[in-house]
Amino acid sequence: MKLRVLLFAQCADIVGSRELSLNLEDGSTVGELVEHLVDKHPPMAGLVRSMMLSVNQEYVESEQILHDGDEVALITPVSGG
Amino acid sequence: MPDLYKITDDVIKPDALHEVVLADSDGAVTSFAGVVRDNTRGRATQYLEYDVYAEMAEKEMRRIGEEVKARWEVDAVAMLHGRGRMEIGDISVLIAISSPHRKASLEACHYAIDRLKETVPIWKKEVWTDGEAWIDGDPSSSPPPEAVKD
Repeated sequence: MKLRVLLFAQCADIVGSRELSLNLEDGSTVGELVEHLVDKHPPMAGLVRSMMLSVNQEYVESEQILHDGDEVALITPVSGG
Repeated sequence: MPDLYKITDDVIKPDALHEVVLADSDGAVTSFAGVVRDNTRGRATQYLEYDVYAEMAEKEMRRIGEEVKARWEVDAVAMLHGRGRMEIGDISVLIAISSPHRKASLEACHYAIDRLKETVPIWKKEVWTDGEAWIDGDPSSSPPPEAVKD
């Protein structure tokens, strides 16, 4: 399945891009997607523990199963305001 | 009055939301403006840069507005947040809440800005004269008293 991954702030700096298109096996979870990204971009490992995740603009747990076309975002601790 | 939740590239004026939330039946409007300060923990700030997940940020602001309306006797809620580069003195976030009586909008506004800093996907980069860094979370935050009530 094909996924759209959005990156912001530190994650975008580490990956060097604000948006990725990824192909993962059907039935993958959003947690597995993060593992996949950390494998490719090891400096992201330090961000994972405090990271929140969203699918289609809703916060989700890492066990959430992904579906083709989902929009996933990696959300490091926010600092708006 | 209609609620409003928006990420904007425009300069945010202090009174931008007053008319938006005000109805004849209201007795109070509480506004909060977050402003870019010239220092952080003793370091001179040159400017801030905000990165925003706009679609989700607007949804999360609306969620906070709905929470507020369920908990307090308020009339309307409006929130604006800027993005990109912001200079010292610029308003980065503006919240306005109207209510028939003052207590509801005062408490609701305090709650709304605290929640915004916890859940809305927006990130601040501080640019100092001698470096820059993304700010991780809100260092000044303590849980708002209303959040522990339930």
